[in-house]
Amino acid sequence: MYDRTIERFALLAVGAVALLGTSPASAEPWKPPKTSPRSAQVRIGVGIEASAFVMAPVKSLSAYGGSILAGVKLDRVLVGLAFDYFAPPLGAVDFETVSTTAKRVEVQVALLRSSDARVEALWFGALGWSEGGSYVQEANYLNVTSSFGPWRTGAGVRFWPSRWVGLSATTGVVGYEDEYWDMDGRGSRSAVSLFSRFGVMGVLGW
Amino acid sequence: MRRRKGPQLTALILGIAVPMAATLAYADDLPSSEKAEPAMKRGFAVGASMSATPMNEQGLFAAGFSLGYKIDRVFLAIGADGSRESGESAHSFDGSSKSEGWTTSFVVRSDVQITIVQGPGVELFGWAGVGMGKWTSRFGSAFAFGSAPEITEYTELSALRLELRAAPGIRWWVHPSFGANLSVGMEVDTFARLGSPAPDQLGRYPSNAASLLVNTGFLAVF
Repeated sequence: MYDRTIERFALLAVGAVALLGTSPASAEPWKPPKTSPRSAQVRIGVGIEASAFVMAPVKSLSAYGGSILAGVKLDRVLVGLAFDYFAPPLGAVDFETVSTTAKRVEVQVALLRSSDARVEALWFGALGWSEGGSYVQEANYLNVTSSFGPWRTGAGVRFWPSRWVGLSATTGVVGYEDEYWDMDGRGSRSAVSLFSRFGVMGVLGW
Repeated sequence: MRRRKGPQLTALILGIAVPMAATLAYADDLPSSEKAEPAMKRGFAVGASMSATPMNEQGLFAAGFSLGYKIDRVFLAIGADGSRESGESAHSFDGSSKSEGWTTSFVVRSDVQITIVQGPGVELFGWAGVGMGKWTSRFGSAFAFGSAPEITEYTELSALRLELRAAPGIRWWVHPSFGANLSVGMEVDTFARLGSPAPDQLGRYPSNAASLLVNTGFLAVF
């Protein structure tokens, strides 16, 4: 399990570096007055975004992790499928989770744009589903099933330094519910917390 | 089940550092300092950031969001933070037990950032923030032999929350409408208990904390 953890993060890191390594070569120097807003970013295309997120620790989800999203961009709207990895929690908590992964469908909409279309304020919403996993809580072994979530919604900003690369910071609310069983009984938990993430997106298209 | 955190933390730091580094790398393609367009003087501003408070037991990480208005060197903003957790459980072992409860915490902040030194595309600013909110926890449990337990009495604890932040920071305006910022300072998070809790409940309150604060994020002005 631990080796897979390293592999997943390595994949995230390599993906991010690959995006950055390939795109700047084709980036044109920024010329604000001369750049047409139409050429400031790809309007219709397919994209991949790698992101890292943190959140206030809640007992059902870990405090940080990474995501890969692949989607279709239609001007101001991006619709994508994503894979999330929640790392085991850090610090002063009385339990430990095993690694938890989740998938989600996410929609992002650019609500505001600068006149040259390089800067955007965006809203996003996502609904996810996770496999759950096994828990060790105060020496009891629990079987956990996610009943709902993680869902997310929030807002943030994105900068397009080139047509093909977008850098974003977003903050929002994440919610989660699960059910668990141990030897003596059952229980359920839900949590809502704030989270924020940084993302690097590469887009190919027109 | 203990796991090494080092590689994961490294990956997290990499995940944050890569977008930041990319922003700065692309900034090299931007016009030279003589030609650099200054940051927008006025406008509606939206910011997203993440913070780490390594000495606060309440949590290492926090998410930040601010909505505000920039007037020349002054940026005024409001933001909020909060969480809610709830749970219920039912167990049977020499009888039946049931428990349920929830904890909520929220804080609403007002922030002011003032640019102290302004260079071409870069500025040094001072940041002060005051947040107020409330922490509330409610829980109850019941136990019964041979029948389903019913929770008849709940304990509710609450506290007022005051959060203070002060930090200097730098912001790199990679575009007249877009800045990347990094701040390092202090955060104080205090809780004033409301009511008269029983002595055995005191341990359930969150503890006061003063911590180093590291905050990094993006700000867009429209």
